[in-house]
Amino acid sequence: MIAYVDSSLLTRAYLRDEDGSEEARRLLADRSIAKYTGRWTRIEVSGAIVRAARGRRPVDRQEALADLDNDLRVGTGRIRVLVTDDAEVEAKALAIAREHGLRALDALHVALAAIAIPKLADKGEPIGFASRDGDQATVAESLGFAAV
Amino acid sequence: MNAWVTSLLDATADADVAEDRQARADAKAAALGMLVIYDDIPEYDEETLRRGRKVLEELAPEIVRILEEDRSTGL
Repeated sequence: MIAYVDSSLLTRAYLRDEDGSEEARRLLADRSIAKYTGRWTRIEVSGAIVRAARGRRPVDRQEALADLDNDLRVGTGRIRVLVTDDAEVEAKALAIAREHGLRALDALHVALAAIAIPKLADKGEPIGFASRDGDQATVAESLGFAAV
Repeated sequence: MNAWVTSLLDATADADVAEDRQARADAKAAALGMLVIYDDIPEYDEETLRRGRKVLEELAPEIVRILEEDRSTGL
């Protein structure tokens, strides 16, 4: 399976006091699933880590940010970052936002997944979308993604 | 052969044998120009990546063709 991992799920891998943190870390460690995300994820997850540290939650800011960067490093990381034509992604995200009312970044993630992930999948291979946002997950499922 | 591309092709071959889904999909993503490599968290030096991208441009169609054609080719 090839899965797109939304920032809502990836954040939980670095914030161990979050519900679903262990599940997120298990997904990252699962080598039977190829995992991809978008460029916005590094910014979103970094912001979430810094906010959590400022809020005195049990997270070491530098360590968590380093873990995130290590996970995004091509070659040794556990998740890859995809990029494709910006205009195509924006147009798809706009259509999704107008039809389903998703927030901008949630719509951009689904749009990138819908455009890029099928290009990487083998014929007949299931594609997945990992998110902890219910509305976003529902839209992804409507586009043919299995919930991960 | 460029170190990055060699590594990518080696990983692809190993991945196919080991059924490493991530490495095989990465090879295709790189060939399609869809893989982001952050400059501030490099795995390879800048010159290696620059030359690698150039080599990959030439090899990309063949990599994609093989990956899409038949996994039993042993690439």
